[in-house]
Amino acid sequence: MVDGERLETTVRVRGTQDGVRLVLPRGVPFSSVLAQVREVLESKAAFFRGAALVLDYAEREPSLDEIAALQHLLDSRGVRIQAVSAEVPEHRERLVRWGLRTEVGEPPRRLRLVEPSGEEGVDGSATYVRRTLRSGMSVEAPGHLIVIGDVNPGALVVAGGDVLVWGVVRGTVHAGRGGDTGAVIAALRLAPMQLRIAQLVARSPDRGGQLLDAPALARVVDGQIVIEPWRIERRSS
Amino acid sequence: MEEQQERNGRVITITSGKGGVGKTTTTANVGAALAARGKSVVLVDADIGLRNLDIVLGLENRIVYDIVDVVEGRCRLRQALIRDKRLSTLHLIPAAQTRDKEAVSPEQMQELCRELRQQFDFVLIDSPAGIERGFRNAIAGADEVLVVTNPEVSAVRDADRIVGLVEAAELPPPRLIVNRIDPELVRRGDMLSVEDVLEILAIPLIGVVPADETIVTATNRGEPVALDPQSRAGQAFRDIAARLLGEEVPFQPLEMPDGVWRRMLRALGFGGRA
Repeated sequence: MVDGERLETTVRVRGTQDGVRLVLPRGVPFSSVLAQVREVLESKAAFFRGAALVLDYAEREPSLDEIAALQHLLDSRGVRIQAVSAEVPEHRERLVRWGLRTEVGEPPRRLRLVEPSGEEGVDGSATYVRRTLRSGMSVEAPGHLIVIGDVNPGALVVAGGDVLVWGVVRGTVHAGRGGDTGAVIAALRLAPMQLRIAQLVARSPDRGGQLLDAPALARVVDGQIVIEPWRIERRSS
Repeated sequence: MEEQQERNGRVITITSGKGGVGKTTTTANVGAALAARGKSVVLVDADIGLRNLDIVLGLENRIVYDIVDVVEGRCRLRQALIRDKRLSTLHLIPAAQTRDKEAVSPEQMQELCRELRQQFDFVLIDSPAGIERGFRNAIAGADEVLVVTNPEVSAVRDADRIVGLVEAAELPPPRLIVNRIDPELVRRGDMLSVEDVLEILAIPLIGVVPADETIVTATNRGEPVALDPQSRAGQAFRDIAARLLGEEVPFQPLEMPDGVWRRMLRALGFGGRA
């Protein structure tokens, strides 16, 4: 293209140490991108069959519709998308918000890392994580956080709002990171290493910690974190 | 033994995160047990720089070439394969002692595993401790992973980290070996039980190996206990091998420590064989 500034117009295939990247150009409409990807897949069918690759948006603005269409195309050729990456920080944030994995190689140490936005308060939305968080993993959510799975010792969970764990909490959970002492932590079982709400910290007893073998809720009462069993009213009997 | 028939062996990595929990002993013994069942087995020592597997097998004096020589093309694969002195179907590719983990790349490990699986039924890779390059090399070509842990909080913590990394590498969920469990300590509540460990790790169990002082002496002599029919730990390793072969083997009861057994047998009039 002989434009004032050179715009990328072709889809490129790059081999890196992390595997194959499909780099999408900025300067063309999506229909052209899709056609080019189809062509690339056809010309190197044997190479791509069964492969996993990174969809690299580089400087192109990502859209969910585009990603879905590309995924559909790649799926039909037996190619799996490992991650979707972008160079522009805002774009990357958007991908993260859509729940996409943005890089390969490193395990998801930080599944959803979103910078605290300061003035933006916690609204009704929540980040949803459906896996057990093992030692060394951490999750950070700007608002509320729901985890379906356990939070194991050595894992760290941080949220701007409430944290709900449908599983056992054995690691460290921090709710109300921005200072909201009204935030709560609820779990099927609370046997945490440490709980934090706003600036308050409660740690497990050093010896003979008696854990509640029942669903429980932690909240701040009179400047202290207290854990209470979640009582389900028994209506029969 | 020079049959040129192509196999499609299984590549199984034995790893743990924490050091000293018994990875190398497990690799040697599970390998020996599989070989004793007639399977062709190669053990790969991926702990480059801290070579040990050869010692546990008593094969140190036979090493000429090692894994780094193979990947750097200084010798052919066949030349680095050491045949065990007891079992003709058991082989070892030793680690290099004078190099470090960077000497081999994950891609080279994958290539090595590809070649080995064509020649052997089982390729067992002894992973180094840690979560860095050595570990990544060790799982690079693996189909399955076995995680070894001890019933100790720190070992379980590291095993949990490893399970997360294995999952992130998109391998099937690893299977667990709880090594060095002492039934007496568990009974007194002074040791984590197998159930405690499973509750945290939540992965399938493939073996429980009792603490057994004969392992230490056997290991120092370079004799895998899996070949000793009297050894309880040896039986546990043979059971793991059988489970890898797809057999349903019940887990040995742990509640009855050796001493009690012997005393009971003696009381019942059975001779006092050790």
